[in-house]
Amino acid sequence: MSVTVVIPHFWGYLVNGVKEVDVDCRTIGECLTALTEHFPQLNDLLFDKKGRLHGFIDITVNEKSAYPDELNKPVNDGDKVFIANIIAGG
Amino acid sequence: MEHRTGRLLRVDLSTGRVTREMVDEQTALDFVGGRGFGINYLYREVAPGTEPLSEKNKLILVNGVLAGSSVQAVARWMAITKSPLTGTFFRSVAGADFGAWLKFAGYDLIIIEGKAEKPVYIHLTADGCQILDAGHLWGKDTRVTQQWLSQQYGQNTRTACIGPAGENLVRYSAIVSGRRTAGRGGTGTVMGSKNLKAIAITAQRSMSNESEALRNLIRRQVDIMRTNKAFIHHKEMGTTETQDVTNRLGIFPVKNYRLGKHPDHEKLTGAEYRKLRVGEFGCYSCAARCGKAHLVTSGAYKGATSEGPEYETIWSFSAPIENSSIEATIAADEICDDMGLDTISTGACIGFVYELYERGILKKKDVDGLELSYGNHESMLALVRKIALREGIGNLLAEGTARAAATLGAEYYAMHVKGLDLPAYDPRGAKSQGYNYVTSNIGASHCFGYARQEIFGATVPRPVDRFAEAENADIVIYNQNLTAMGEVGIICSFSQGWGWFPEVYGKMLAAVTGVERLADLGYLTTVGERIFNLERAFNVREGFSRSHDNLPKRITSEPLVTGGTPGEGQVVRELDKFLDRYYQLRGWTKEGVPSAQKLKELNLGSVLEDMAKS
Ligand code: SF4
Repeated sequence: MSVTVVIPHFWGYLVNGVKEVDVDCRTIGECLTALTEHFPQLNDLLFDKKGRLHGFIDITVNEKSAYPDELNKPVNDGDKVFIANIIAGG
Repeated sequence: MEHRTGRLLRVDLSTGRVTREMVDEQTALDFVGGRGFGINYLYREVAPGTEPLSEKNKLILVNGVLAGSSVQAVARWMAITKSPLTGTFFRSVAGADFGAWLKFAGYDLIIIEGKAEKPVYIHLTADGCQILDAGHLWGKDTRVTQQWLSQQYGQNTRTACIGPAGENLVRYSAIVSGRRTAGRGGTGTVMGSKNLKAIAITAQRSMSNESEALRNLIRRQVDIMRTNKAFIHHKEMGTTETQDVTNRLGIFPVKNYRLGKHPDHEKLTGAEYRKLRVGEFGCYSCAARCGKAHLVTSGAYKGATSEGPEYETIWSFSAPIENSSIEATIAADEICDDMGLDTISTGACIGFVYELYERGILKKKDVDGLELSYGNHESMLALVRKIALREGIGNLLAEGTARAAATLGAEYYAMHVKGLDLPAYDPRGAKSQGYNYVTSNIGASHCFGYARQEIFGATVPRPVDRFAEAENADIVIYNQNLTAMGEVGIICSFSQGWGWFPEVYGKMLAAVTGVERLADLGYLTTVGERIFNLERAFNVREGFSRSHDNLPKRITSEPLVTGGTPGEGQVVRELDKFLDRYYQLRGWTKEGVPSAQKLKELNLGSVLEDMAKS
């Protein structure tokens, strides 16, 4: 299943400007794992020490939030996975 | 209760005269409410050149169109005045219940003018308004003041007051309600200059008149929020872990903006704050309850407690002096809330002094014998108190970083725009955020056009490269207009990311006011643009121009040091190019003056004459 993971622009400098990666996966969890295999430096930006997705990371698939239980959500051929920070600054 | 009462209360403290007026129809149509009403009256009633701490200045306290309803996250209120810190138009936003209570008492806004001969407080009910002696409250902190007024007038009383800092005319004093503050720009200083200690409102909650249309929209809002991860996460953490992200992005400004990452950032994380959390609190009609209360349970600061700190305060009492004791940060937050001080300007000003001390510009004898070496949080706390009381070196720092720097000949180290200290996002690594500081109508405020696209990766209206400059002028304008239109409501800026703003918001405004056009986001954006332009016109009339739309030299010349995270080596390079583009897109002249065409387009023809003189 070919899925495109879009790398958020604010991480662009960590991945030499690569904007997206096509990965072969069946769930969002597999997609993100595949992404971190390409770019291990993204691992601690996405996951906490126990391997859970950080609370402040939101994953959307085709612009729809995958919350809750994001990592187990299935993806389909041709889907686009987006990553965003959802912390609040004030 | 109608949610837009259309009524304003005018209190003249010089004469003791209290009058009730109706907001005229054209103002209601053009400016809708909240911040729009505020600038409309300030522009009309405060003459150019007015000394901010004179009795001629006015202080406007205003709620939003939706305050007091059961819509979520809209009970914010703001203080609007000419700032004694910046000399510009100023608006400072606060939470808790005060905005809703003002509505319950029957008002959209209060305009306070003149100056009382001796300390007074205002007691407002639905039946009347009294100006009463506050001699016994003068000198008391904000906690004691509010407790006394609650005991005096009962549980249905909400208060906005100043602490000793406002009485002592510290130029960045806050107005405090509960433990929430209208923190920035010295709105509390203006209140102090009028000898006004507090405004207490006693009123009954009322939601009886909510129409079916509004109720349906509230259901829709709650449904969206319930499944929105940003809301759920904000409810859980508030802003207590924003530093985890900004340190990673290299935009957490350390040592007076010399570094972009705290060397001990792992000691300041949201998880560390979580260990000291003892409760939650929030604003009227908001399920997020995002205020997280903390208690220090051991060590030198044992017993210190604050309903916070929020992200900006987590930053302001750690990074500027490279402090890594979150216990000291909590203690500093508590003192600021009691004394009625803006935590951002207080911490930033202290960071400025530490750098001068390191460089030998100030010696131990100049700072009352304090040891201001980096990491020394005892001295930081001593300075907070000295500032509030204008004691020793605190008397100079109470004037604000820009004025203190001018006195000391140390302008290069003063990190401000138009006198307002830079907040907790380094412009070198978040450039649209920085350009918002440059062009905001109140100086370097993080929340006058927050660049969500850069910091959170929001993709609306489009994704943004956070190191790009002039090409993002449209994004800066988008964020500023969006903020202004949200502040007629007045919605909490956090809720902008919860999925219901702006569509459902616009429909709610239309439902409450009966003005159908407000459901049209194009029209609502024009309202935001109108407000922003009138504020700019106020500043232009005060003599502000292109040369004031600037950044500290450090930001445009010293490369950002982040220890290898993204942004290393960045400076802001394209200020002039950015301003050309920004002014052009705004429809302003090359000097940054709103053009005749733009003013006419926004139905602001009445200010044309003032602009022609500029
Ligand atoms: S999100 Fe927090 S600050 Fe905003 S209205 Fe709700 S409780 Fe108040």
